[in-house]
Amino acid sequence: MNCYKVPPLSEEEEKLPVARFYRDYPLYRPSPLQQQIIDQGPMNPEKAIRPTDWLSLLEADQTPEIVFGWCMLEDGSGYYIEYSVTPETIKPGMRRWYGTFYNRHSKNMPEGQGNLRYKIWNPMDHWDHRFVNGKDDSDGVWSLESLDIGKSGGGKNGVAAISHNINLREYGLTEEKEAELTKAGCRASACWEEFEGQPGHHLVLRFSRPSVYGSMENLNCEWMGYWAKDGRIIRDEETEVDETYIKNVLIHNCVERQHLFEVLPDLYEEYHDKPLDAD
Amino acid sequence: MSVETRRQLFPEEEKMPLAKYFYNYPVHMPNPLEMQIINGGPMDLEDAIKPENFLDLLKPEGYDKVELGYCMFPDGSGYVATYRVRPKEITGEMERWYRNWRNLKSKSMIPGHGNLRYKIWLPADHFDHYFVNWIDGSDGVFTTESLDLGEGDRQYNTIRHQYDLKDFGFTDDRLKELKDAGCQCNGKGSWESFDEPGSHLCLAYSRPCPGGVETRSREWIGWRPVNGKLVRDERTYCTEEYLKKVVIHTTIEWEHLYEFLPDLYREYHDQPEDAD
Repeated sequence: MNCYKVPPLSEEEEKLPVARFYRDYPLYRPSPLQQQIIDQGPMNPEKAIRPTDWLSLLEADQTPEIVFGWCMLEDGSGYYIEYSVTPETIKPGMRRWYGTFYNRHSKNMPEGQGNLRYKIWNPMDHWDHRFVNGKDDSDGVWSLESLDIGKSGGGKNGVAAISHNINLREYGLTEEKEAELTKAGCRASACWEEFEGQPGHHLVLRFSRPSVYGSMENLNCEWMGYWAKDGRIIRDEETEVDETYIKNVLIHNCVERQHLFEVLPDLYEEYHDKPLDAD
Repeated sequence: MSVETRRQLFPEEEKMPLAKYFYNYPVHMPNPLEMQIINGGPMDLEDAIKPENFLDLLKPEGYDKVELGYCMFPDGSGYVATYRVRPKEITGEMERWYRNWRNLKSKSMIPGHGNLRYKIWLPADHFDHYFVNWIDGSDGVFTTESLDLGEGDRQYNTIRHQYDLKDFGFTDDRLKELKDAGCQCNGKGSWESFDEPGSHLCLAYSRPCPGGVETRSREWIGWRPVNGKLVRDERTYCTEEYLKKVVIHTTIEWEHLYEFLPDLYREYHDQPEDAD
């Protein structure tokens, strides 16, 4: 099959009941149509959404000409856009529940071996994930992952990042526009990321809207070399980025998104009404 | 984006209970990712399976570099690659049932009015579909359809014929290898003749994939099988614009079928074969 061979868990992790969600669900490569576009190489940068124009993505009934691709922008920053469709099997609330679930370790999760609940999502690249303040995302979310489908040795050897939520209303999303999007059933969220031990910032915008092709369609964009502060989008020229890096991130995202669609319904069914620290 | 165009039904068809499937299920253009590929223009010729290698399509796993696309070959013949995933909630039984049922006419259908069971599949383009011998597909399947989403092109009358892959060197071992890998392949391909000179060679098979069952399908426009040999039919009409229409039409019709098929199957699969 079109699958990756995922790394084994430790003996202690294998004993946890949740390990079966790591072990028993094949991790598939990008779909053939995604791969077809990836193989064509970088998109034309003229068709990328500029970071200064980032909120133009938030339209209920308009779609960019390029919905899936990556490129370097003229100023040396990086860009990708990723289109996906959430299947009907993912019910409202499942993804929000998983957001809480994977940011907490279960009671018998072995120390120093990352977070198995997060590894389930992307066994090739994920290692650890938690709320900075241990309670919620208000002070940021810390994660340790690689972004190249295991090529650099897996999540443990990845780069630690802290993501900070952005209030889009402080960046030009008007009350009227927000109401219009809400009325149309759309959801928008954004964050910026900083990294431990290396300079640089990434700006991320996620947009979902009702779709005739599934329950929701998602358009996610990332601008590597930009972040957000005090209502302004700021260029960070120290951010290291090249075409291979962006391409790997896009593949990583495709793989983990599809995989979560496969695993989440069963995981939710088994764990959503158990104590938060259940193994 | 929706395809709003529908061919007009006859008054007799309007009265049939089946007519609700013609009207009540919106038809959608291919999704934005598919349209990005299609609007990118013809694929690289090097990524197409050459007609003489057409059996290369049939592999137990892996993909071609291009699974959705079209191009012209230097000799004026054409190539179409389409890819679809049948979602998990649509069973193989549902699809098999419809593939047969669409060839049968219901009791109130009037000769010359086409086949409403086929029209519901793509209301903008489809008109008629039936077994040539009125029993089964062994003597061919007759189809009348346009390919341009009702934009005004003419309708083509087509007969789809079967051929045996063994005649082209496809061995039992290769068929077994496919079946062992979970692929659905009956060892047959098809080719089409038209109400004008020309031939299309077709080949498709299915296999499990994330989210359901995928079908990899190819069409070589301007080729047909004759006694175990592929023959170039130079009279076959083919342009890039035509090929693009075929890709869009095909992508739309399969995605639309999966929209209404569960409801149609639930209502009709245990009714008499001639139920309206």
